[in-house]
Amino acid sequence: LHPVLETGCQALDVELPTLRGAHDRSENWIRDAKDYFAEQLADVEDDTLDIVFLGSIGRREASPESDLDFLVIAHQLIRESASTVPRVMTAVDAFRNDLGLREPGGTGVFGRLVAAADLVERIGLDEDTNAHHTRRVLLLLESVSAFHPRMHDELLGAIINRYLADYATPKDGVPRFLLNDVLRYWRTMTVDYQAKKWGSADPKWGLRYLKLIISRKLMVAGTVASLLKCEAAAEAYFLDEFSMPPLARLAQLHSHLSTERCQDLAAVLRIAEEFATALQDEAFRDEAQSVTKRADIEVGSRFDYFRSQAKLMQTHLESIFFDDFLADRARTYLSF
Amino acid sequence: VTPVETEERAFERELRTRIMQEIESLGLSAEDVAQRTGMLPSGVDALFQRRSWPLPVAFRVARGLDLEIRPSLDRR
Repeated sequence: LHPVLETGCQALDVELPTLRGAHDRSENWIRDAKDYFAEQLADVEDDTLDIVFLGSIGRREASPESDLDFLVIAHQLIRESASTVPRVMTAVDAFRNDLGLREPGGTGVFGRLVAAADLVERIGLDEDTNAHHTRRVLLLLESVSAFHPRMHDELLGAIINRYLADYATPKDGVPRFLLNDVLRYWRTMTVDYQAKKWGSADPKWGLRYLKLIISRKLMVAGTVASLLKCEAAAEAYFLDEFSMPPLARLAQLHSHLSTERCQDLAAVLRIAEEFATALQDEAFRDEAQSVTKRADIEVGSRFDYFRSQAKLMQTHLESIFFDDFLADRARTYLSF
Repeated sequence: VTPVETEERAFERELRTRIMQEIESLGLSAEDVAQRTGMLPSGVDALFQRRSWPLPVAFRVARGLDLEIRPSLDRR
């Protein structure tokens, strides 16, 4: 586990065997990827391109069923791009095949080349499309470089500084611009979830729904924790925070919370572990995928159980954010 | 899940089960399978934990191990 999450688990007396395995699997795949691309793409011009993994590998929560969500990021103009870019894409595809992973879904958000300058400069207004916004926020929240980590850190630093540019640095307290963009991402995701099931049955509704109300909510909650506890907003603070997986960001609150709220935090981590374990059980995934609308949910089923656990997790998160040291800031920044 | 997806997944599971039986009967480890298929050991390790494999992966493993895919399974 990430050292911060490890410390949190020890303090809270929580065991996370499945998430520990997922962390090890993710780290192994990242290490394999770095070796693979260093060898296969050794002649790619320095400081031009990076390959970044997002999604479950970026969160260090990869399961055997994970997709390989990736972006190739152009940090400057690429000479001979007509041959270089396809070769990089092919190398990523070959790596995915060598891991035996399925092809990623066809949303168009991942699996493509994007320009680093766009990720830094295009924040807000029409040019900041849904896909572009998703890429930028997920780069901050759950990403890891598999090719040139130094370039990745520089990119994250530039994006963070773009959010902080209008403040005196370090800014006291919470950087509202960055917080609003993260909250916008969460709200957009919840609205798009509704859009995807509107009009016709969504064959993946069940799994999508549970992931939204458990995994994705936890990712955002962990990030909101980093933002609300911020005392001096600066690049170094957020680079450090975003280098942790989202669950570690949440778990770090243990050293500030009362004993009672620590119990809420422990309960949240146990639900995350329980859900991660269920996601690795193909029988459960089949059950979840057979649920295509609310009417399909059988009372007493595992799906129904995890829906209840998600509601329980929500009440624990509310207690953590609104009934302890973050309460004033949560009221200020999470309302209007 | 559509009937076509269900059927495809069932076929993938059947194929995976047959190949895993062969791997077990040959006493091969994930490392052995990785070596013979050119896949990464960390990937094969994860494959062993899945109940179904994508068809290209299943055929790659079968080819790498010189396993005969029986006609009853070779429906595609």
